[in-house]
Amino acid sequence: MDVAGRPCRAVSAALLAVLLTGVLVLSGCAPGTPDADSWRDDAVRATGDGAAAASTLALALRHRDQLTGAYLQVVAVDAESSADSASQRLETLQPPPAEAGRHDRVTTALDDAGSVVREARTAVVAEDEAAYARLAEQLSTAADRLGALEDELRAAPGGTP
Amino acid sequence: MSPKQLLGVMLGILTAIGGFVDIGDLVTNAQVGARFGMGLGLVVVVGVIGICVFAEMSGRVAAVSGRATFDLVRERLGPRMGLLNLAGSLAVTVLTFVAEIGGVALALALISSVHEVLLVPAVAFVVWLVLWRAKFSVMENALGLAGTALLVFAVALVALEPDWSHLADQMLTFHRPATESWSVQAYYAVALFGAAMTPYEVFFFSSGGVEEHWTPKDLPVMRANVLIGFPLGGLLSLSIAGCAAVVLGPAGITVDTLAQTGLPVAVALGQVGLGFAVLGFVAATLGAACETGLSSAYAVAQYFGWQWGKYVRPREAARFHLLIAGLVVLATGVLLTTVDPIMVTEMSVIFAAVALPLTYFPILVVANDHDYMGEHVNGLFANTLGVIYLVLVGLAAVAAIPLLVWTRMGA
Repeated sequence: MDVAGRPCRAVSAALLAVLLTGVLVLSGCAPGTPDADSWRDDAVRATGDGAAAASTLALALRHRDQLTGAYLQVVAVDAESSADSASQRLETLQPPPAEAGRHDRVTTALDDAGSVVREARTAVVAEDEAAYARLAEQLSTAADRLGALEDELRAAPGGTP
Repeated sequence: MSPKQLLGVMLGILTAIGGFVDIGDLVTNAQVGARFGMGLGLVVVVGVIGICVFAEMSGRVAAVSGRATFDLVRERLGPRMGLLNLAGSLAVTVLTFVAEIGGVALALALISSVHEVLLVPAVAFVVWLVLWRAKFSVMENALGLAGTALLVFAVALVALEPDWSHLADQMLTFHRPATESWSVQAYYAVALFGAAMTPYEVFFFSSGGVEEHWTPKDLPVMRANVLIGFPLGGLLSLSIAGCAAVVLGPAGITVDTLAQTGLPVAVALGQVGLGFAVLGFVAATLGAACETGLSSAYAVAQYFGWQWGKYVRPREAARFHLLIAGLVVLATGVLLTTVDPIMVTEMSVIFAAVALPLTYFPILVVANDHDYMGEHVNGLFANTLGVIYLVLVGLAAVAAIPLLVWTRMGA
């Protein structure tokens, strides 16, 4: 019905408006980026992702005989990509003054982990199996260091639970 | 039941198991297992019961009326509501189609170590070729049976000798690690629910029933496939989560890649087990790519009343096949932008949850209509479960987007 069609359209438009407003309000509720809490959230995610990348490659190297060469190579390349992303996520952020010291420690740890992951990926592609055991140890150490920083960031006031 | 019928039932159950898991299940179950242990295992159970309820309903509708879902949605709900329904469901199914093609490329990269983007055009061509040339039954059975290779995850979980009581305790208490917030757990619960109840599974199931000319005589076999095959497929999902919970979680590994999903199998069973896992990855994602491609085209063709189906000659269903070709080109174009297929997968399972009521409400309406269903109309039990699940899918749909935004995609 044409006459009744108008109210129907009005109801539809109102529903759409409510939906969009809801989405916008909820989007607005997400934390902003420049404050200390937000930096800590990003730092927690970056350290977690960096540690996961290093731990994944360490696990794969320890079980290298149980993986095919192609599979190990994909794991190594993926780990390098994840470690790089984690490192870049923080490098592009301006840390709040109160977190400047921690920012340096976190970015240094991420860079160090990224270097070991890169070295391990190079060894995997070159099939330098003699280096695998040493690199697995170094990767675990790098992951532990990042894990400790992640715990510290979570424990800080306002940190992610 | 004759031996031939029994063989048919067995084949149907096996293909239902192998066809249950797709890239969304592979990734989401491994992510959840690594982060929450078995803390969200009950969500998988609830999701599997839900897909059984609605797949049985849609299969019954197809067998009794001889007509598929969108054909009836348009007729029963009217063109406007039908079009809204089509748009929502189609968007999610096409997104899932993109994710599945990306998933095949990721799986093949594990064998070839070639970057997945370079594999996408070849994978897309194969998907198109299968949808153009392969017989429906061959496509469904071959890929479904190959997909049962994923049962290696169940074998791997047993071989890992986990503390079963600990896993069961995590599952029954909705275990949440101290490092995870309730909102992130809720986000992953919705993602798991969406992955288990993906709408395309119902479109494909009911349209397949019409393609294979099911009649009410086929209802017992259909029910056996659904009520045995899907729960066993659900056990497969739980095994993937269990393997991740036992191997990846304790090592502090969160899952962002398909390669990580297969690592626990390698740890437990070595290269032979890993070979089965990768075969299962390829078969499950290729099967799901074919199913989602067909489901998208089924939905559009059924809504607009075009000739459709794999049993119809392509010349007679030209628009249907042209649409499939267009969707393959679209998916290839999206993936060639180098978008991460895992991210597309994560988006697809969340938006699947958003679209769930669009799929399941009309099925419940039609299954209750005496004019279509006659004596096979929903009984009290089916209606009770249907209404309970309608509430659950409604809650998941409402919560999905706010949780996506609030948790920054579960980060």
